[in-house]
Amino acid sequence: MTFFPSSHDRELELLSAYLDNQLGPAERARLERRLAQEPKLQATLDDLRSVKATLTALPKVKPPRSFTLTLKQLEARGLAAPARPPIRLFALVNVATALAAVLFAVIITADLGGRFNVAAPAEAPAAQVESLQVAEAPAAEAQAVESASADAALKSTTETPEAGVSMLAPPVEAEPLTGAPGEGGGGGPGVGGGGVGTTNTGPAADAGDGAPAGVTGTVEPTVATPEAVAQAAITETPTPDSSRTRATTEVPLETQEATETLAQTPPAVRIAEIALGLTVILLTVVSLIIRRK
Amino acid sequence: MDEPALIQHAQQGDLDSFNRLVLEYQSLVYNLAYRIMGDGDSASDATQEAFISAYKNIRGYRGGSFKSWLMRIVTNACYDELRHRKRRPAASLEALAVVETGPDAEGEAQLVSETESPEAHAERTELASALQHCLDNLPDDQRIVIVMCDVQEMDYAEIASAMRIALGTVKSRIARARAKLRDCIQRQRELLPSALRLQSEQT
Repeated sequence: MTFFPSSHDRELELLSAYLDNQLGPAERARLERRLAQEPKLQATLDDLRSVKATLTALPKVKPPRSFTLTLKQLEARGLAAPARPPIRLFALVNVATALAAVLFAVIITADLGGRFNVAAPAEAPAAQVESLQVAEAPAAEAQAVESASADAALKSTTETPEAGVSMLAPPVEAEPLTGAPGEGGGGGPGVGGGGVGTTNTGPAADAGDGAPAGVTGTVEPTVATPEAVAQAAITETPTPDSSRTRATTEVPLETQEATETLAQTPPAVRIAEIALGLTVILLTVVSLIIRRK
Repeated sequence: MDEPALIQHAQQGDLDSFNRLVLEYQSLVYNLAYRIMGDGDSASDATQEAFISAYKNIRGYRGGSFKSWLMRIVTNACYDELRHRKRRPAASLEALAVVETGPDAEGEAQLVSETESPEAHAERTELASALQHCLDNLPDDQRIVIVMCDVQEMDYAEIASAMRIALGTVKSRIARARAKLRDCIQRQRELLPSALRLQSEQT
């Protein structure tokens, strides 16, 4: 229900505010003109003024005792502990959070940079270099690649079967790699993909001649299993499979490197990363709770 | 030490600094509680509760008028005490009986007595008793604002801040409270002729 003040109530409010000096100059002047003309209004004002004066004249009462607080009183209310904000704890938690966050960032950066690739320290880089050389160098240079890298090729291929499959997935033109048969190893048979090394120990002419699939051109995007790739890398005889694996060298090298890095990060580093990440989250939550308190 | 420094130290848990604030404001707080509650015991309880609550919540004080902040806590403590009293009808009747017979002996003895004649003192005490009776008959909201305004002499803005109500609400509550007090005092005029005449002559 809405309360609408009557004109009498409004007059009382006006007079009361006038007594308390709460009216603006214009309103005050208007009321004073009315007071001069309306004796009844003036009488009401006098009554209200009398009430105010009586209340103001009420004697001050002396407190019967002191109301200062004692530790005993506060203990009884569970307020004994000082209400001091935990500034030191807050600062400590903030510093710990910052340190943990920095350490976490450093480890993650180092991990992504391949600093922890200790599982295959020599072989993996060799395989990458060979892949790069095979992909960019002229076919003749491929003969200079050592046959020993075949082991690394085999290893890396078998360790990352998914990568091998995905790299072979898109249709790839095989012509640039196959070259003209009989040009002294121009065919570059036996080249593996995805970090697969070269096993070009056989006669180059034979290799070129013996690669009908390479001559025909487009390689179908069939899935090459790791076993097939490994076999192609090991066997010295060029086969259609070898042409397919050769095509894999055109896949971006960054993908290969990332795959190898993930595969070679030690478990201890991985655990440390997870632990540090969780620590940062936990400390942040604790810091927020302390701040709210 | 100045008030802001005392408040800051109290916010950091310094009980001594807080108690210095208590000594500074306890008379004001007790008087407000006394006029709202109408008797000394309830006023003491409300005052003690108010200071404990103030200590508990002083870290929530964000500047502004410390007096208004403290008055808000006192009025809340008084509201709690009044609600508590309403839940206990027997206690309420006892308090009413005390009011009907005037302020209790302890409260009357505590009235600040300047150098005045026994007759003047008796008259003033009688008037105070009648006024307190009229105050007690006001609704709680009106009683609190009129005590703040006319007894504690706080301005409208301070009252609005302490009560967390609009300025217009303060204005209307004070006006209605004064009108009711006027009527109450007029009804008791026969009981207190000399006192009221004295006040009328003064105005």
